Amino acid sequence: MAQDSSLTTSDQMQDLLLESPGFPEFLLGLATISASLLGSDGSVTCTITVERDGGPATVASSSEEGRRLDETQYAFDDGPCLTAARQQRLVLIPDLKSDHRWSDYLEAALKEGVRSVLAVPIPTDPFSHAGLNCYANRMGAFSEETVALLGEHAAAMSRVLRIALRLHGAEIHPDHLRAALKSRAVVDAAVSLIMLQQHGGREGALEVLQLAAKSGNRRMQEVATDIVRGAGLPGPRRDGGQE
Amino acid sequence: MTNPEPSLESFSALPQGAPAIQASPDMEGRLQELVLVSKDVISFLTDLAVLASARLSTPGNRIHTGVTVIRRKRPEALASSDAAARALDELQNGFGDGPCLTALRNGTTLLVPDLTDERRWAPYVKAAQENGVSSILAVPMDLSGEAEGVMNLYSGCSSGFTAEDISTAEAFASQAASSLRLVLRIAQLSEARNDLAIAMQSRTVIDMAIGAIMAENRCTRDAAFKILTKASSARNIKLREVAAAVISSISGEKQIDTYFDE
Amino acid sequence: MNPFGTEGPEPADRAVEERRGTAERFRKTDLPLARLWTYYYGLGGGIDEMSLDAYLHEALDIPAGQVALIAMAMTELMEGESL
Repeated sequence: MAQDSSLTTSDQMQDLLLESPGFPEFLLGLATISASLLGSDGSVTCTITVERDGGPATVASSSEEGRRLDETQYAFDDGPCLTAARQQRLVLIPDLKSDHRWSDYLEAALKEGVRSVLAVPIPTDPFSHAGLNCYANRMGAFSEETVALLGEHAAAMSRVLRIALRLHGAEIHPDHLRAALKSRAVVDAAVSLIMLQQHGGREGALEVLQLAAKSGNRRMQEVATDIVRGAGLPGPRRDGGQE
Repeated sequence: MTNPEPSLESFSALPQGAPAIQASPDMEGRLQELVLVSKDVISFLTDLAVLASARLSTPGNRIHTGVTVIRRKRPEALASSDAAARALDELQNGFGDGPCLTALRNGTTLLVPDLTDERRWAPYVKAAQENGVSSILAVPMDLSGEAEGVMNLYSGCSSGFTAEDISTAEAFASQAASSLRLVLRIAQLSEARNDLAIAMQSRTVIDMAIGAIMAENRCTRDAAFKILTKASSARNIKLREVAAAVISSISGEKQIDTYFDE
Repeated sequence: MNPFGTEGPEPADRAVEERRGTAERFRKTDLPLARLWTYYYGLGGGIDEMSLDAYLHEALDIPAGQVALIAMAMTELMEGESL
């Protein structure tokens, strides 16, 4: 029985990959497929979390309740699924009432009627973290067999997820962009000065900068900063151009 | 049509009585503005202003630099090297006319070597002199297609800018504008999400944005969706990000509030 | 290789060879494209993300200076400096 369903599941996931218009839709499909694997009586909710390149996570849930629960997890920046994803280890909470970890989060989950939780890591690439989170409304809902089944399912999802991550390219991380803009501002200024000095274009000026960085074994941004501050430019230097 | 609430006013793009569906062109402009005034862009332009001031100042000739951008057909002081520069930009923008605004409108660099000899823009020139300004250099910047800006440099000395200074300022402005154009084509619309770190699910965000546009423009769901998708493809910004910006603006998140009239 | 002398490959071939090497190096790094592009942009890079993607799939030619910047970006990113 398990084998049949995993064949079907694999086909389903391939189709999902081909047909999803975007990454969140794809994850939503994965979460739904995962929930149906665990039974169709609606007693289990599945959510999938993917953190890409240290950026904000994309979360998909097979139910509204799951979405609320995961939002809670992110509000605390902690919880079983986040832990499973980030540390790439399985987290099983057979009875929320008697577990003392992530107390804030578990309190919120209990209020939503959740009694047991299983979080399974999904291996991806070195720059991302992913996990499958399963919530059940009764204690001890996840047997050894279920845990094993979900482990296999996570491995299958891993393959498909890696492809999806490449297909739906990661978005620019706000922190990285901010840092890049800062760096570029200085590089631009240095390039401007070199262009004026050499009566040349941007490409040539960039080459000069790169060469200076390589030969001095320094970062381009450092060299650029020096040039803007009046140092390092060959030829006549502007007097007193200090801050 | 009833008066829309202030926080939604930004998306009521037409004079009252006009058919709602033609809201699209102005909507695109509005959304373009959202990209332009993002914190990152302002930060980049501030760096430019600071670098220009640092580079061109000499002992006895302190240079103040501001960057003004046209938004909703009005000039707005977007970035500055210091408070004095911001005040001087705002002074000029308040008058609605001056060398910097002329440079911006004409698209050419403008130098006022000595304000005492300047007969144009009389009301502004008088006020600027009262604020200690003796010479002004204004360098226009083509920021991204429809957006125009100008880098304004102020000196307390007459003939405060040499020919070399002008070349330097023009080069700085030109490189910065080109860099901004490149990143605006690509970068996401949304600000950095803070501690919550929840990425909104596409469907929900788009649904909410569609609802908001429908309400504001009294149009059908289809029409609202067309507005969103048109803005997305015209600006090469993901649909979800365009929708997120619509929602942010409507929900009156602090950062966005300051960019729209109340 | 020219069997009659010691000259290397034509400049065009060199560029193609370099592109292949860069593409392979990129695959090995497992860097997200957006991450690489952003850092490369910070170094002063001039091509957009789509063009970078195309280049790294060996489907586009770009100026040599930009290639050097891409290589520098990859090196610095893999050195683990956070940006």
